[in-house]
Formats: sequence, C-alpha cells, structure tokens
Amino acid sequence: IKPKKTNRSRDPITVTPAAASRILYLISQHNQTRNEDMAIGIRLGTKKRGCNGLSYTLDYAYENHSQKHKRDEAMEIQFDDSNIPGHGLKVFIEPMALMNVIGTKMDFIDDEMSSEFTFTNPNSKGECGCGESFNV
Amino acid sequence: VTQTSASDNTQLPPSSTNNPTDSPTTNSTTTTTTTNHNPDDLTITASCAARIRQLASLRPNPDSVYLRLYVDAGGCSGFQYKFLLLTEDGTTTSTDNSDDEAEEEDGTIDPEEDIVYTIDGARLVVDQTSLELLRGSTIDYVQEMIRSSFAVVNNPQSESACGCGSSFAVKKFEANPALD
Repeated sequence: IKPKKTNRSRDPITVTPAAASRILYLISQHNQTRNEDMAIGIRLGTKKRGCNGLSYTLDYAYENHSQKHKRDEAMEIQFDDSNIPGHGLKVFIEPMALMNVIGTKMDFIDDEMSSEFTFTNPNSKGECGCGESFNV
Repeated sequence: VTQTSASDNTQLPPSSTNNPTDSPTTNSTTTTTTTNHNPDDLTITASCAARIRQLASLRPNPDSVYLRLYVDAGGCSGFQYKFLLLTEDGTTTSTDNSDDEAEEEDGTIDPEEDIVYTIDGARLVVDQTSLELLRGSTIDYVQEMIRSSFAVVNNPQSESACGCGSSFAVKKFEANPALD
C-alpha cells in the first residue's frame, strides 16, 4: 500500500489564509458550546436557491464526518507556512456539489456592512448581483 | 397605545433627546421593538442595534455615527436595499470603496426628509421615500456561518426577493404611491 500523499494541486478548492483564519475562529467559537464531538472543519455544499440557480452552503464537520458522509470529498487546508492559522483544517465537499465548485477560491471579506465568505468559481457562468447565487 | 407600550418595555430609552427631527413620527421610534407597535413602522432588532453601536464605537466620534438605510433601483429584482454607516459631521464615510454612494451621502440628516429611529442608543436613519417601500419591515443584523450582514427581512411591500435578500420586487409596482 502506497502512503497517502497530499497533493495540493489536486485539492478541489483553494482556501485563502483570511478564509482559513475565519473558519478556525468559527470552529473555536462553536466548540466552546460543545462537550464532545468537536468540529474539525467545514462542509461546503450547494443547494438550489436564489435567482441564479445555486447558492453555497456551509456547515460544521465533526470528528466522525467521514463515516457519516462516506462520499464527501475530503481535503485539508495546506499553506506553505504551516504556522498560518487554519493550516490543517479539514474541508469536506458534498458529492453533489463537487463538480460545481471544483477550482473555486474561497476567501473571506470583512467590512463594516457585512462579513462574508466569497467564492471565486471558474465554473460559474453568471452570478446574482450580491454574488450569493450562481449558475454553472 | 403608543405610550403604554413604550412604558412596558423598560429596556428602551425615553424619547430620544439627541434626535434632530421633531416630526410626530419620532415618537413611534420608542415603540419599534414592542410587540404591539404600529404595523406600518419598522422593527429594529436588538442584534441590529448592537452591531450599530459596536461599529460606532470603532469610529472617532461614536455619538454622531448612524446607519442609513435606503432603497435604490437595481439588483436582479428591481430594487435593492443599501446600508451605509455615516457620521453626522460627514468627516468619515464607509470604509468600503462603494464609490458613488460615498459622494451622494455626506452624512447630514435632513429633518424634513429623514426619519430617525433610536434603539438602545443606536440610530437608524431612513428617508421618507425609502420608508414607503420598507413599511412593516424588520431591520436585522443576520449572523450566519457563511455571512453576517445587515438585512431587511419580512418586507410586506416585497413581492419576491433575490436569494440573498438584498434585492426585491415591489408589489403592485404601477399602483404603488411611493414610486410617483
């Protein structure tokens, strides 16, 4: 059996340090309210919604996520410098969403009016004005 | 009814003293978080007020900071809600680079045009024209995992809305008096 090798170029999505740091923050906040089964990462999905067809969904992923959702695509956030906050966090992608989000860059924008994750998706052919909904 | 309901809620400040507008509508501001408020008025949630206060505290002159909400043409459904954080003296405007808006808004509150809602020390300002399209709405600061932002929810004037809720279509578009 070959050792499992992490190959960054084959990761389905890329996560910026800003987004990773926000995910880390959300997870630590979330875990403070829990005694067991801690969140270890996030699950990205899409659902039919919005004026342009699809919108992104985010949820927490827990320790036993791979057993519960066997068909999810799993990856770890990898930075060149492993000291960057969020390095090593797990990202799971719903199987139905994978083809729609492959190659997507996930970023986090924080300003006064809103703080939100943004998705730069090469598969997207059109977007809603606010950027929440897209079509492929 | 207005007075009774206002005294029921001890959390609310007495009729705002720093309110530049003296129109009768300012009285209703004290009732906006009570259960039996005027259905035509705006409801401002506690999380919205808390966020305005939090943002204001980061500014040099927190007391003059307010949140302006207006309705603009645009978006996929015809109209769009816009939020701006402004200061009355006009020294600072929103830090984001929404170019054209910053030019339009110098931070002045016009006593004839604007309605000021004061909730727990936080101010929300809406101009009369926009208010016509917002009556009965709830102004909230929605916090979700994927996004936290100011939002207008449950707008009775809205017939359909964009997925994100920033854009909406007006009911009975042609007959709506607000659009004359």
